[in-house]
Amino acid sequence: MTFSTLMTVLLYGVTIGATYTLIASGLSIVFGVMGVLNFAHGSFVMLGAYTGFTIVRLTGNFWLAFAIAPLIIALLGGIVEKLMVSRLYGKDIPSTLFLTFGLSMVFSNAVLLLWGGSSYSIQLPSYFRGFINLFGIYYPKFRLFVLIFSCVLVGVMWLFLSRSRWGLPIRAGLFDLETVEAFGINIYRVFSILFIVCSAIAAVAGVIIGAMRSINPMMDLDLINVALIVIVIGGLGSFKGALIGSLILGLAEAFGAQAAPGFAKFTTWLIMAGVLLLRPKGLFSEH
Amino acid sequence: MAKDKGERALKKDLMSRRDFMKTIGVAGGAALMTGLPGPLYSAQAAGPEIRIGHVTALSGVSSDMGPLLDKGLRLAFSLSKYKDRAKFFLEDSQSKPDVAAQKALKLYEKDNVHLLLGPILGNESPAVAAVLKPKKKILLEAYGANAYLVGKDCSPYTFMLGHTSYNMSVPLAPWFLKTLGKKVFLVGADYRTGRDVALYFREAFEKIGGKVVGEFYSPLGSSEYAPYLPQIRNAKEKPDGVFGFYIAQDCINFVRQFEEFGLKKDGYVYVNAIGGLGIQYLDAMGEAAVGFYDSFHTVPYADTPQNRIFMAAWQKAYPGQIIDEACMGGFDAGTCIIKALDAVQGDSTNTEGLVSVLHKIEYESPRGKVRMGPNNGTIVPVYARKVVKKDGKYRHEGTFLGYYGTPCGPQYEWGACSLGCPSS
Repeated sequence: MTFSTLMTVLLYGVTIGATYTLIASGLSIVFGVMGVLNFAHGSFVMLGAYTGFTIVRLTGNFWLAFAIAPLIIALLGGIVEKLMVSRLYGKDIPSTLFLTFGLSMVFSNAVLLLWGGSSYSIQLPSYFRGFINLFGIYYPKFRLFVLIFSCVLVGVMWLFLSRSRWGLPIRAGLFDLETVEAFGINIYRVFSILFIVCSAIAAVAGVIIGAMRSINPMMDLDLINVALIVIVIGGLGSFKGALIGSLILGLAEAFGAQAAPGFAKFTTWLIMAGVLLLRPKGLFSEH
Repeated sequence: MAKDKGERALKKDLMSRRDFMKTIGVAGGAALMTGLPGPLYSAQAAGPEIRIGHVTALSGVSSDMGPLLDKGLRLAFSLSKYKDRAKFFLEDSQSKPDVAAQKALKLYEKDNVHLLLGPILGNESPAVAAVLKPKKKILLEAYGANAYLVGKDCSPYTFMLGHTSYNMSVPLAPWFLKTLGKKVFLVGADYRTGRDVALYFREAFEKIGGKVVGEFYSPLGSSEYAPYLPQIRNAKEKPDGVFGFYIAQDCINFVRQFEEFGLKKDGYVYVNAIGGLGIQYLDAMGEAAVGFYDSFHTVPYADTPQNRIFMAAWQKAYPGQIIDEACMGGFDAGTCIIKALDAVQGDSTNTEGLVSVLHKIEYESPRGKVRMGPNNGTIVPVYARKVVKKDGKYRHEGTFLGYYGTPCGPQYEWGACSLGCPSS
């Protein structure tokens, strides 16, 4: 492998990983703080993609989709949290898993009814189409935007969790909810806000993925699959774990495809199996 | 979950069927009044029910195609003299071979259908054929591509109306050499059909002096091709074109990323076998697909007399709905069945009579002239289709490559058919 190819694959792997971070971080945080293994998280990404696609088709404005789709999905996330998920706080993990698994089926069937079984994709503005030559590496402009945007968003999320007043109870909640409540913090309000924010981030990921790949009613399963692998590798409940897990997965896919194309997907499962054997709670588990 | 999806899709289909029945009368009436030619538009025939079963994907990976195939089938009958006698029984295969086989048996044994239109996927068709063959029940395959069904697993009761990997890839070899050049880079989804297409093309291409300069096969269901695409650019010799087979979502993602990573701009042309650049995917591919090619046996919106009839009827029945390969496939199958019924005086219970007629059937449909080969596989027109943009819409420009069936014999992997084998 030449140096140029190595750098190309490295860059592609990091970009894939950055997209995975957007998908997996919400799932990981919601589980870590709220104890809710949200199987419908992939559905929020999918609904974000479909909503974004519809907005672009109606208005022709990509940025409107990028702004409005997360708001709509955040509203949906808020309704789901208030009416259903909140009733299971304090219950065991399988209860929330069954609830959100059922919700994911409802959402995928709703997508099938509303948009049909056809494939779509979000059309990008002309200035995002094409590629730039980065030191001999052909790199699509939109992917460069995705890489920068993901880094900024991840940075903001990290600052929010580690430095803000709101981040403190969330981090504390990872270890001891009762003590957080004892300080007079309405932890259920924190839960609601967290669920809404993570739904919105999922929708952002959906709009980005919808512009990079095709949108279809079964994409939610692929997405939740990716997110679960990432958090198994990185560790449930850990933002840092989601970030590192995503990068490992992205790089494994990129280099696996070069080394043994037929086994590219197998590489990711192999890594997951290795992590489970050596560190069953993941690389950076907070629990 | 798949079952749930299936039920929803089925309900949706039933609802659309009601709408369809309302509009179909208009379409049929219009066709009769305008005196359109051909056997489809003769006077009505009174008589007992013609019970037609259809097991197709209403859920699962090919769920976008199943309802369209069914609509095409019903549309053909609505324009025929059998429109009041035809009764349809639709079942969801869930895109799964075992479910497809089980539903096919149910249609024959419980619903007492007289003949059956089979499922879409290449792994579903043999599963259905295997359960129907010993029972001597008719199976027509409008879409399911499997060469074994016209090779060693052929049956007097199984009829392949569509294509195989072989007749959708081999005819492209001389065309590729003449149109694009002598050097090709092979790609494909790493499963049976993806590998077969590359294998048959390579054999035919190398035989006439072509050269393969590189190849890769990515896992079926991949959504990211970024890690693979540099291999095309890094090939030892620059290929004159890239040839392979991806299907549905895989093909959309591959074509979009092929353009995204600058290959198209640098003059690389992509050719996908077996209708991968089907009209239903072109909007999702957008500008990326324009100028690329695929192969198939139908060209939607082609300006031919039979296709004009079909398009007029479809647009009356389903205003604004796009005409794609699947609905044309359903209409083609309906046309074939109607022609066979004519030959047995509309007696759909005459299985042996139908089998004998279907074995030698010739008919014209929107895709052109079609005739059955001795191995019960059709010999169809094959087109190299270029994606173009006309009046803001993505369409195909077809180049006719000739009539091709699927040969069989001991030299082929799928073996010889006991009924006989066509020469090409």
